[in-house]
Amino acid sequence: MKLIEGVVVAHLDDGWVVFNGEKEELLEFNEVGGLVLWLIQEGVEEVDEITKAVVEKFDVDYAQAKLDINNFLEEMKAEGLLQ
Amino acid sequence: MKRKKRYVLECLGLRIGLDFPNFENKQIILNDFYERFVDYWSSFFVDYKFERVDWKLSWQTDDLLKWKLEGKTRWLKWLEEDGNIWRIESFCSIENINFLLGQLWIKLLWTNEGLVLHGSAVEKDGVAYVFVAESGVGKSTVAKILEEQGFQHLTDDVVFLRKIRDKWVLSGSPLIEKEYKPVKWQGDKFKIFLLSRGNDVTTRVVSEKKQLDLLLRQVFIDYKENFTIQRVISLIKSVSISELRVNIHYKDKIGRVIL
Repeated sequence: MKLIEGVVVAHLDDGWVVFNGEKEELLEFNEVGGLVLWLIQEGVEEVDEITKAVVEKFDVDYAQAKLDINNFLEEMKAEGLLQ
Repeated sequence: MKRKKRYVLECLGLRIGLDFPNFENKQIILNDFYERFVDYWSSFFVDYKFERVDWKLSWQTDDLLKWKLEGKTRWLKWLEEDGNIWRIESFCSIENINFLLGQLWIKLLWTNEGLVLHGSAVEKDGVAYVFVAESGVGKSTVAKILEEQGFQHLTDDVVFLRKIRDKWVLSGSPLIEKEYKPVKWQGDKFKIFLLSRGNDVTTRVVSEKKQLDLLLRQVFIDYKENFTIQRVISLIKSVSISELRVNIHYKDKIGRVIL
């Protein structure tokens, strides 16, 4: 799993943004969504690893987090940000 | 046979070596070149060379130029990579030459930690002030007003930036200008203002997200190349960027407000 070419994730002073170069659009993400995409940008590929990082940062239930992250990743694929 | 001199254009440490005859001063030479171009029309079309000097490019196609030259492909047949030689064919005006050289500069900067902003710039006491905006908002007008107030005019329409040893440095464009001859200037102290029209002359801090949103509209970038976007983000993180609203009826205030 990795970001589509031309997709850039960045944390700015007021939150996460994702630039989709293919569509030339700037998207805003909340803290969890931005972190997940940033981890992927940094080369983390396994959902388990991503989930661990999210659980550690936000102190949420592991099983629920993994489910939500999987759903989120599917959405991101449909959005054309992930492959 | 006429002897050709070899000239080198340099900006921000990057060079384009050229084989133009009489390449003494950018604007004048190009005009001069145009006259010579007419005189030596036939020889020009046979084979004119741009020598690549110090950059490594992987430019297999002319997509960028095609994109820029939509509807104008008649005058530029193609620009192709051929070993170390750029071959140019079918020019018909000085504007086209200027434009092509500008495109080469942009590409050169992209591949060498650089960015190109759509903006004007002035300088005072070693600090450069860059005004970024879409066409028609008043970039050139603000630069002219500030020139009248003692600022040094740097560039009218395009600003070149390059990161050298982890610092951003700025220069006027060597070729891409509307009215002024570009001024050679380098320095690491500069402020960027995202220019818009207002009722008064005011500056305000804007969020980084808004900075990115506005800057991306005024940066010459290849959206499909991640590093160019990363470079804009790096610029936002390292340079003072704020919004400047201007009402030119209060032009005396502009210089005071930006300092």
